[in-house]
Amino acid sequence: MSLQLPRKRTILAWHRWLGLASALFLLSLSITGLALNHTEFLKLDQVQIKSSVILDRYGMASGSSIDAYRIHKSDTLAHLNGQLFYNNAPLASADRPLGIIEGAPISVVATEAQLIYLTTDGEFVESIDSSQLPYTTLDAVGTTTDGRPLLISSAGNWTPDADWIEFDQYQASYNVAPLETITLDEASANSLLDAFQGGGVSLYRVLLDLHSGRLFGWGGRTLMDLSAIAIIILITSGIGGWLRKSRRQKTPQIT
Amino acid sequence: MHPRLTTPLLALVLWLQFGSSMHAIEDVYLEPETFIAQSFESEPERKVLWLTKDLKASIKQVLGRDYRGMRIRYWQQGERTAWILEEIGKVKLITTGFVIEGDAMHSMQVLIYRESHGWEVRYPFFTDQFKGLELGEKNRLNKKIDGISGATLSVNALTRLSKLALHLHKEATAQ
Repeated sequence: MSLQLPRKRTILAWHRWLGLASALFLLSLSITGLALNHTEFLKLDQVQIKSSVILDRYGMASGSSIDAYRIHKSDTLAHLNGQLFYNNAPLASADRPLGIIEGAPISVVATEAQLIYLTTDGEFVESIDSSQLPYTTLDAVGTTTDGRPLLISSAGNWTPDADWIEFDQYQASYNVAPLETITLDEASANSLLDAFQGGGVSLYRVLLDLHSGRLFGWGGRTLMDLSAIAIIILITSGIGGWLRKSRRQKTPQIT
Repeated sequence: MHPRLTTPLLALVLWLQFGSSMHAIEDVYLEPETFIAQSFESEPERKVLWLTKDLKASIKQVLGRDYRGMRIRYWQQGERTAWILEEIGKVKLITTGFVIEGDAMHSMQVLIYRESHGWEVRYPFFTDQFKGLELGEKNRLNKKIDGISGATLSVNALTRLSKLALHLHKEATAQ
């Protein structure tokens, strides 16, 4: 059984269209490859990218994703990318706060699935989740008519004891006040971003991920894989075509 | 492209794509509240142990690092206490429950495991070693805990946590 090779015209057509289709990716591969080869000279690792478009690709936050709240009169509680900060110092991993209950000696930050306890100086005391709470998901934070804090959930409403250890069900009327956000000044926002993710992402890292396609997730990586395969096919079909042409030129023509 | 090439190429792309995207998920072996309910005959008293400066210093000696936080929750009924503690194995937290009675470990159970490797620590052939464990002088355990190949970091994390639980029990029952 003999392998039926494609005709010359078919190979040429494939070579042409494959070359055109992969040109952009090959260009990106070449340019980024050249730049990466001269990282030290171009100082790529010293250039920090802070563009929100690029930072988003790395799951990093930009200034616009900070939610800030006032706590203990003059202090700041901020939420950024699943992390809480007290005056820019990391406090705990948590969702966005639904309420802040100030007290002494303990203040509490309530999120959908967690209660984070802290001192009046912002020192972390402990964090408890739904496995130690009487509800699974918190809907809101309110106050009872006599001023006690109230945790409102679909599983019922709950008032904590003085140490926030035990929770009693509460069925009377209550008030709910939405948690007010504040706007951080630019210096505080930048300081918070620096504390959370450093100075951004280096140009070296961006080029490296552009080179491998990882900057665009699985799609980019697959395209770069296909481009690499396209190079192999282009080389093979190019050399094959050239060999065929040169063999034909060497063969004496019968007149 | 030749049809004979299409299938292996497609398989290669799929392998490159999905082979690297495998990740660890959170395995809940036993809900913490169920663990507490199973550890006592009736409803235990819910308590907190406040960590004083001295206690924090002694915890650092037991754990080998600072403990973040100022109080730890526990459950008590008579001489028996239960603790739910967390420690990082390699990169993720392992949630473990300990029941201690009369300064000796009554039982230990891995409740939630989040690492991609080392989940063998959940099995009784490993956890049973902790039964009867006591904390001796210089924070040394009275028995050697046999490791598991491929789960060294998780074994070490659970051994550290067992020391911590025994230490906390002593402090809590002494108060």
